[in-house]
Amino acid sequence: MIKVKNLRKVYKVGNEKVVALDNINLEIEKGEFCCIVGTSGSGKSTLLNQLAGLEKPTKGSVVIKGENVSKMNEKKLAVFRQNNIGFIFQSYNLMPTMTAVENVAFPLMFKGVKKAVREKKARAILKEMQLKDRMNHKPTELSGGQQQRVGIARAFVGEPAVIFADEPTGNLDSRTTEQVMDMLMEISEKNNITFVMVTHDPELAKKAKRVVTLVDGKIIHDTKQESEGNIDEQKQ
Amino acid sequence: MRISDLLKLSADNLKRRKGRTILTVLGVIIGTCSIVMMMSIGEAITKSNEDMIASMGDLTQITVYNWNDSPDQEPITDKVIAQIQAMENVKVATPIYQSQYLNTIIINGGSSGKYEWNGWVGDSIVGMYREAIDDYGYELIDGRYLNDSDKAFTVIAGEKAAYEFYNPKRQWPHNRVDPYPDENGVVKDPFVDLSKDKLVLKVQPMEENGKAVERTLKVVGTVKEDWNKGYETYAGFIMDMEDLIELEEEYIKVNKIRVTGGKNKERTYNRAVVKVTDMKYVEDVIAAIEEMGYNTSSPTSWLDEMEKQTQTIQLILAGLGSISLLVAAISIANTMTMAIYERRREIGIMKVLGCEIKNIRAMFLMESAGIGFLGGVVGVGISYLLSFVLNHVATSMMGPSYDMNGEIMKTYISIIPVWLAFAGVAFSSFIGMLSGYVPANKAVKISALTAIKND
Repeated sequence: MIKVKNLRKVYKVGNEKVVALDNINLEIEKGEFCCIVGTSGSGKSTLLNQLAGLEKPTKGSVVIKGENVSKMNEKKLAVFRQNNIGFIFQSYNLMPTMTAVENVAFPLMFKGVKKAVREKKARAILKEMQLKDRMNHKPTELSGGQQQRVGIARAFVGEPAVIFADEPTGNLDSRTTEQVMDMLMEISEKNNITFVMVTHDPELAKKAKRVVTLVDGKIIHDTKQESEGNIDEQKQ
Repeated sequence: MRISDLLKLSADNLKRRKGRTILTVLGVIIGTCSIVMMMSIGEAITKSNEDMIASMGDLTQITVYNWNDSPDQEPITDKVIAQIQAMENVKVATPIYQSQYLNTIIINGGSSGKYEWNGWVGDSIVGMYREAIDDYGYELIDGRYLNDSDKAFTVIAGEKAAYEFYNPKRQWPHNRVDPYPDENGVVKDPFVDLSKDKLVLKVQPMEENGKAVERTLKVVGTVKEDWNKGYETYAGFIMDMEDLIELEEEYIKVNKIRVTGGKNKERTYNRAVVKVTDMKYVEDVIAAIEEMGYNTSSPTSWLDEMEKQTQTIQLILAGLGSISLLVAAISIANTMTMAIYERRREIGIMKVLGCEIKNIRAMFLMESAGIGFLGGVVGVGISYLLSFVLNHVATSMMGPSYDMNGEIMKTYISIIPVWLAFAGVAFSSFIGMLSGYVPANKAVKISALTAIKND
């Protein structure tokens, strides 16, 4: 599903070059739930940005569903995102003027889906997320956990092949974190969606079947947990 | 993305920042108002010019003249008039006979010629080609035009000609009858009944011991008073030019006046009138006549001249008005730049969610065009109100004015035609969109990464 090859990203800070990602090679299969773990400055967020095509790499390529995301122009990328990618943000990033339903339906608007159709779909997902009685509330009228559930619903509404999540529980308390995390895993498994999530919390990452650990822009661990207790660890 | 969705997004965004939107729209309102008002003043000037000229004369009429003041000028002869008559779009061309030998004309009427009418050839007595009277556009209200079987000195009278007969033996105001209704609404009969009474036309001799020449008139028709044509339609007479020429020759003969030039000299005229089928052809016909070497004058030519001047004034006024719209445009650009700066994160989110850049651009352009449109609509509305108030105040301050036919004219300071209203809204919307162009393109360049950054 996702193939990363020799990925390198160098930032220029003043006159100095900072290597954020160094020769990353990674393959994520369809339906896999993958956590990218690392401390602050490890390059995990940079990696996610490259994967989602938000930033162009210095070298190497990211291929999603057979298409080279790092070579796409903005227009192609927008259409590709509409059809294949969902995104969950740490700070929810809901549209402040829109209700929960409108927020969830928002990505479908870009696809040109009729208002009635897209909002019907949005309502169905919100119902699944136990937000039935919060549908017509604005984000400011929702708790953090509720907002993030709206954000999650928005990522799933377009039935994407891949969902990227950037510290989706970063702003939530531990109890809500647990709930949200379970929900993410459940829905992506149910819909056979490839899920790539960035977190700084190794405990949280342990829940995932696949954990990629980054230090200083390099993958140092890549653990695949086929089933309970059977850990297949790769060192790079 | 659907246009309806784009429109709704833009409208919601404008509603979100009501205060700022209203202030910016206010700028556009003032700008639109000043342009529309300035233009409307120009329109009013044009209108009043047109009215003035229309009241001066028939807009389809051209006068050709040759006062013999320059030896180079070709004389106006029957041949020349025939040439003009043959031109395209000329309805009729005829000389208006002027005579240097005929003095005051007196017409005696009523029982034993007690009542008198005074006039002059070429002014209150108009002689032209017999067959031209019809086409020249005199409007009959009674009787008929002249025909070929009419004897000499068969004439057509102006509407109030009968009232122009007065009793020379009595003092004013008892010597005449007023043609207009008195306080009881009664119109009195004139002294003379033109169709029944005997009318004798007499050329008053110039010299003290000169001999008068007399002819009997027969009135067969009456034409409507029309000041676009001239005094003859009010209280004068229209007749065949040949009769006047015959009268003149007789007068010269009996008074033994020496006439310069040979007897067989071709007849020339000082003045001829040309009636064109439609106003739009007037310019072409004038050009053709002037090409032949004659001077012309027509109300339309003054109209052209005035229109050129008005256009210049209108341009200057519009220029002044557009200064405030320029200021409004700058404020739109400022508002949009601020809005985009504030919404950087939203733009980033939209990009991450798969919104195409052309839609982001369209959204912002619609917002700025929306500001322009709103300002335009309200501005045009206020302009109509201002225009109404101005015209009202002007009419009441200056008092009623009258045109040449004595009818009350409203004083217009500002006229907003429908096209100006639409143009005002279209222009302000366009300016709005134009002002939003640079900010919108800036918005498009905002990176999707903005959505990720936590600041």
